[in-house]
Amino acid sequence: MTLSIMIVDDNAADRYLLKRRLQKTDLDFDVIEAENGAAALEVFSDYQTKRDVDPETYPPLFVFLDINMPILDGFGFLSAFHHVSAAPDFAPPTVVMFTSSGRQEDKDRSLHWDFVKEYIVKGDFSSAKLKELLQAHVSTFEAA
Amino acid sequence: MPQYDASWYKDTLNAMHDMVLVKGPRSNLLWANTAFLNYYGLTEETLIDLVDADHSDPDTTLQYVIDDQTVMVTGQSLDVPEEPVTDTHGDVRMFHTIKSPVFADTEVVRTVAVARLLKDAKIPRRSIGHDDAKAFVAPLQMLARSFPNPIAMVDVQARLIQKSHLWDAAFGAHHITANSYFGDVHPELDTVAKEIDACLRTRENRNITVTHPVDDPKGRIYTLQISPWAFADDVLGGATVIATDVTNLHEKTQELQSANEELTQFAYRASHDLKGPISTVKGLASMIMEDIEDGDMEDAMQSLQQIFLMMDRLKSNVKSMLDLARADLEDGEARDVDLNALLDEVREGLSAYSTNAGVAIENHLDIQHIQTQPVRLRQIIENLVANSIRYHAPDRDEKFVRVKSRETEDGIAIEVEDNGCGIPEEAGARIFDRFTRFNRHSEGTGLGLAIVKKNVDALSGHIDVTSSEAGTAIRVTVPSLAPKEARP
Repeated sequence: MTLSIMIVDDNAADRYLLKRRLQKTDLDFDVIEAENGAAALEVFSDYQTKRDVDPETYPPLFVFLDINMPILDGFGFLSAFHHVSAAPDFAPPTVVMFTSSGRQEDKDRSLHWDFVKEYIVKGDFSSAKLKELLQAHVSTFEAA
Repeated sequence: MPQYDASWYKDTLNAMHDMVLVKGPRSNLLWANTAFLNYYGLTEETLIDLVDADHSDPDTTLQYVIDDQTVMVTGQSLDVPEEPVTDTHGDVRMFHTIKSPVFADTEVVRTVAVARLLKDAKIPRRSIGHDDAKAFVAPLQMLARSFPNPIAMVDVQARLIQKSHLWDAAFGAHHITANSYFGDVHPELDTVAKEIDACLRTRENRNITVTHPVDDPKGRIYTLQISPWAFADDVLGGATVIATDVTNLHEKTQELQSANEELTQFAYRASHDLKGPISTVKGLASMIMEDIEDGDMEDAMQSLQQIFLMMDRLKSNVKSMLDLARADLEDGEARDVDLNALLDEVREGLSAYSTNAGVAIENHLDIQHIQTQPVRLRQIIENLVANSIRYHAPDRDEKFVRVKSRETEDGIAIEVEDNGCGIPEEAGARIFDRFTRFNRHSEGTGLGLAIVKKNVDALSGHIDVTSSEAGTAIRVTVPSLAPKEARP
């Protein structure tokens, strides 16, 4: 199956890096990019139409979310996304925090939302770990 | 059969242990038995027409008169289960008193009271009505009058007996009344009255903080220390209230707290802005290692280029943080600043950046000289111009930043105007907050306008922002000590 993955990060280098790592996993994937929380929320507007048009890659199965971004930061996105995901018929994606902050407060604040499943600090990451993480969550999707 | 003459009755009444006193219609004493005369230190002659003895507490005297009048008017007996009566030494004991009307035909012409001692125990408090007590308190009152802090003295009934000149200056000069000063003259100082009562009850020090005037945000803040004072024989005499004006201390504490919060926030965000690029570089480096192992040199090169970009960003972040820190510390002398030369330097410093973005930095200076702190002004102009370049509108054919200056009523206005992409409306006043970025082109540190604002504040100037999709104009007006005309 094609893994549809959204990357929300204002730093182009970080998006590039994550895409490269995804390539190294040899998984079949499709990437949607957003530069901040507000742009990411846009992706989830008009949900049913978009899903009908492109059921293969929409909605994304994973959202890799940075915290520090202009306009709407990661936390702002999470609290807005909470309302979006409450809509009936919505299949919430797995949100993976992908940030340079290793602060426990930030971690607690993120994992407080049930759709946030992982918290990754940017520097401490390899392609192998990424593959492992994606596969673990994909198997739960497939089981469901 | 004995003769029931006047002396027969008097002897009988004088034999009683209870106090018996007869009063006229104005509460004036007419007669009292021996028990009363002894307790009060009076004789049958000296009591005539007294309302009360000097040593008595004026408050209790007032209450006696009210009670007498009640009996006179209603023609009914009045039972006072407990009332304080001060003896000739100024000591107070509690009595159970019953006051009754004496009729002539249908009219009440006098009252008779019988007072029985409830417990033969002095209440360990003393009013200052008595001469000895007055003599003891007088020097204290004198001292209080000139005390180097606002101070108020109250007696055991919490009535004000003295206040200092400074107290009047702080809380207003009111006449001392027999009523509760804190409750009546200063109803807003009701909490003080409560604390004084607690102090008099427990004989313990109390401390409270009050603002005066109470609801005025600009009111002074005082800590009040309420302490009991006693006579030489340790009988409680009252309390003193000493005020200390802690407004400045309070302000300093708040300044420190907010500086501390700012510092904490700065440290967090600064660490984030330094750590972010470093984490990215670390990730890119490990990516390059994987690429080299796979023999994938083209991707490795691309990752290396990303590393250079991240390093530039890191360098600029560090510079901004240093600028901001310097803006806090800079306290330079105002000097004559040549705006033309300053703008040339700024242009020079940003030339690579502006060329790359295709933005022209134009000199539209009408005023060329200003008396101000050069380092601050330079940081202001540099950050504004850099912002204009950063947020240029890529689609426009001619992209410009115009730096203008002119003289205004408030000083010299320096305006940096661009035809860039504008500031989003929702940004509002938050554009001056640290680390707030509103634009999608987000390579900024979010410190630029924070640096500008800090410097403008330090120069006692102000900032006006106008922005639309056509571009942004930010005008900084700073006072110039001696603005000079443009050079020929």
